[in-house]
Amino acid sequence: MNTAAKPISAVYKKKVTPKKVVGKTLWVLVLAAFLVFSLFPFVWMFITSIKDSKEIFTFPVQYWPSEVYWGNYIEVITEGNFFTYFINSAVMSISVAVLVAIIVAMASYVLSRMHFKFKPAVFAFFMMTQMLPAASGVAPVYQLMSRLGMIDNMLTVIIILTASNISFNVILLLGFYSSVPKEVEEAAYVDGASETTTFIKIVLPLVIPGVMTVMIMTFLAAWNDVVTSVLYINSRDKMTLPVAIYSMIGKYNIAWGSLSASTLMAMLPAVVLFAFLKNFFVENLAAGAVKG
Amino acid sequence: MKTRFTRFMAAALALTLVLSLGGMASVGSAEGSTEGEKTKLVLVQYLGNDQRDQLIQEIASQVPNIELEIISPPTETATQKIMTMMQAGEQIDLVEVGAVNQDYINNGFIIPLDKYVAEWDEWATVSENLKELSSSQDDQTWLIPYGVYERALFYRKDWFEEAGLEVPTTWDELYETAKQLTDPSQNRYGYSFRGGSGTGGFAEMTILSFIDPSLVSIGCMPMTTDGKTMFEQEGALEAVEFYKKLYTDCAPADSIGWGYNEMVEAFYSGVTAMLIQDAEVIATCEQYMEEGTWATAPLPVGPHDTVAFPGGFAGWSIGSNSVNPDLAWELLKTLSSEENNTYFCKQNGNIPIHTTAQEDPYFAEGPYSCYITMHQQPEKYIAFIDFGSNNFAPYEDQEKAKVYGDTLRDTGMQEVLMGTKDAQTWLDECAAAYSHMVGADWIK
Amino acid sequence: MQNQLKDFKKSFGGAGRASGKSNYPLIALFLLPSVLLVGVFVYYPAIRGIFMAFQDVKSYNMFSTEWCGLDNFRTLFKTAGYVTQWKNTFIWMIGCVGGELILGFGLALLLQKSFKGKGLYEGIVYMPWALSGFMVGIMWKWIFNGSGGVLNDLLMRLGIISAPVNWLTTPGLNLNAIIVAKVWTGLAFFAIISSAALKTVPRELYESAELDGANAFQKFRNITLPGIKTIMLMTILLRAIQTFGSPDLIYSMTQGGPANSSQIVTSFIYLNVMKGGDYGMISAASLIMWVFIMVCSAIYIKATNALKAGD
Repeated sequence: MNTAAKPISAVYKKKVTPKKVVGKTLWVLVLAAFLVFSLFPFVWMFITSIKDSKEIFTFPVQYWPSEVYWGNYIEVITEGNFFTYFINSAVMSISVAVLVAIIVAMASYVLSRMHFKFKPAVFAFFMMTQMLPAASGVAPVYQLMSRLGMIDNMLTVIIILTASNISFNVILLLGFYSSVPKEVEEAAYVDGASETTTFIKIVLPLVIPGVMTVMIMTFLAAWNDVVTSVLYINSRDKMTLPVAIYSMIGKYNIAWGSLSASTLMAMLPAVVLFAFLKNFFVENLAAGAVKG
Repeated sequence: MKTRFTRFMAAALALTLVLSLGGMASVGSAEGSTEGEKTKLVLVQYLGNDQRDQLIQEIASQVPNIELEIISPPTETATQKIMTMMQAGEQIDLVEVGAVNQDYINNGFIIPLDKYVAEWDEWATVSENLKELSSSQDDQTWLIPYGVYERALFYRKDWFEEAGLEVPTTWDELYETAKQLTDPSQNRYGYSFRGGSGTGGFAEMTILSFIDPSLVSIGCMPMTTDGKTMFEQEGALEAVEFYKKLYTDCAPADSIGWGYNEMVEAFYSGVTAMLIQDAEVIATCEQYMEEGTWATAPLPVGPHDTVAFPGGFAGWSIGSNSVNPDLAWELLKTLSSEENNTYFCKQNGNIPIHTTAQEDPYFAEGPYSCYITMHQQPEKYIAFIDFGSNNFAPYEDQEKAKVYGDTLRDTGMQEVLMGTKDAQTWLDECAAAYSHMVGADWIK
Repeated sequence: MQNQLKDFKKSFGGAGRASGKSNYPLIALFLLPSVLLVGVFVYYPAIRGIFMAFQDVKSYNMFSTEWCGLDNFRTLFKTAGYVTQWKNTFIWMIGCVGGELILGFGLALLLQKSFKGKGLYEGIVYMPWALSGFMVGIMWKWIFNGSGGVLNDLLMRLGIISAPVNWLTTPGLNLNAIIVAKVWTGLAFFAIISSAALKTVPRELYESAELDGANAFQKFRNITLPGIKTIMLMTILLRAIQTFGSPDLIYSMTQGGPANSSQIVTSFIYLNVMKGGDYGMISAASLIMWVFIMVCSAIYIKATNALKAGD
């Protein structure tokens, strides 16, 4: 906290003082420490991934391989059907993100803008799911999907992940809707627009940042899913990337080299997406979530 | 912004619909399990990998008119997934099992194979021990084994030669040698100790190797032939203390968290000098280690010049939700024929199920030869059935003893290793967990 | 922001909104997909789970619907290490949420100042948040590896330790090691929310305080903290619930071991779901956990007045 309090002075004081110089140096050092802490595991994973299996376990640790070895990456890309898994992951995650965005946009709108009797109950209905233990009770839903002949079907994973991401995002998006002034739609009603038109043409465009935030959050959640995909997908050609990696930690070996390589490659899309949309995402998430 | 977003959403929605319909379409095609003349059979396994899938497919192609789908969930989730599939009544024609699975039998998930094996001529050459292992207390046969997982001693031949050491033949020698090879400053340790999940299994093996061999109940561990439990026999305490000593002096402290993966990895990556593991590690060593740096030897023996080890095995059962049990048997029979089974075991790193196949030079020479040595002296190398009591004890009795498997076997052993629990206390607790079974009439 | 919050509360405070439309067919249509999906895929299995907590369902008897009263709870309480689980759960929640809050909030304060490359810096520092728990587990398990791990090597080279430390297998140490991994991914969450919360504090307040001669600490205590209190309290609650319910890191790094020394309530449930066995008992454990979270949330909201603080 001490170090945290100083930069505030750095922000708001205008005079140059010795104290400010010390504060600034400290500020740079702490920021650098955060950077090292955040980056180090990625860097170490990368170094491990370019080592030959013989150099992985040396102690004292070798910080750079005597010879850079790309074999782990080649193995992951060629042997493991990497691109199929990648496409599956992308298709699944995008579908879930879009579905959740549409469904949540509608539900949050009604909860925020409409007046009806059971509103507190519906709100509680979504809020309570935040606390439900997720790990137990997969069997009933599995039986249901089995009876519908929907096992080993990507659609099942999409539906279940959509359902499990609704509640949180309904609450998240409510914050965005409540920041839209009522006057905007009242004017539309005066002009004789229907409720549906008002929703689609007037209100929805104003909460696009929120909807996008919901989509990105959901995309990440779906992309990183293992539990649901493992349970419902049987065929190798329908597997998603994290499941494929999870399968690598089999009984026969836990090869840190190729495990590192594939983990880094599976992280890549999420990280790239995050880096691209970060500013947008960070602001919107914060603006919405603080009200949830 | 507005129109762009609308367009984007429209495109995204369209994409989702197309994908969903695509998904629906694939359901449609998957539903008909009979495609043309071919019947789709499903095999579920908990130890899957690409090579093994291909191997099974290769053998299955000998059965006409079937199309085999192999489902291999990731190992850690396999138990739960297979249970869930069975419970929901999904089609499973063959399911991999590691023992006579009482859960499956009691829930009606698998069918007995007696009528099939009765008409199968090659059943005669399957080893008698395995036949015993494949049947339940009422003598019904529930599975056909595909291979035996037997333990042997793996050691670093190069390190032994360098240090001028002999391969240990007794547990004491193992300890002494391991201690000499331990050098923490080099990150080298004498023994790949399993202290994490499964440590209790190794402790059991040690105890049974330290007690009077005539007391070892092959079919019904942890009970002993005198009707008591192995935990209260003379030598048990010595065994547990030895086991702890092995951990403290010859293995990295971290090995208290080691499971199968870690102990094997430590061996092939050059951290440990010795490893006691199943035959499938031979394939792993061949893959990761240079030739001549490692070798296998028979297991070291205890004070009575004997060693007891779990005669592990795995096999396939026919699911009660099979679309066509007769066809499933046809496939199982093909997989289990002497020729195919031997081929499978060579690739997969197991010991074949047919006694005749064990004469194959592949198994009689090289790394597998230690097994032949061990098989030739069954009095010295005693194979017992892992958790054998489960095959015979009534459910209520098993339920009462659950505390052993749930907390004493691994967690309790870890406490002993860490020094938070006294070895004798642990033995007493284990004996108490089985006390209700003492003198039971079903003990063989 | 304060007004929006009031507005938001009004919507759910039971008072209702006079100006809100109430077109019931539209309301039904818009709520149908979400309520249906959540009902079928979230509530239905959860309710089945509640029933199962009072039924004798075991892995060898999965179709049983026999009621067994409180037997499952009795079995659960007798489970070795049940008390440790709860003790660890509290350490885990306080450690994770506390660590994430302090580091995340600290980072947000540091990032109040703009500088060249700030966007890139944030991008990198927030990156761990985009990863799944299971991948984070793989990464950190490897770093913490007791024999060949890089952390031990670094610390030994720096002369901080003289022999390798078994981070993940030493009771008392292992849970803390997992907390470090969790804080690594989670601090971005608090940093993001804190940044936004700090933005909502009006600049003018600082300026007038400066005219009054307030120092940095006084400004922080009298202006910043009250300004962000509501948001932060709600965020802490949400995060605590999330942290409670996420066993993935513990499961992938130690599986709760050795000897239950790093087991928490949810990792115990998860481990047992994966392993199979006593399904009734697992349901009982889940039910207790659910009730616990609900009661705690209610107490927390009451105690901190989190929802009313804006008035």
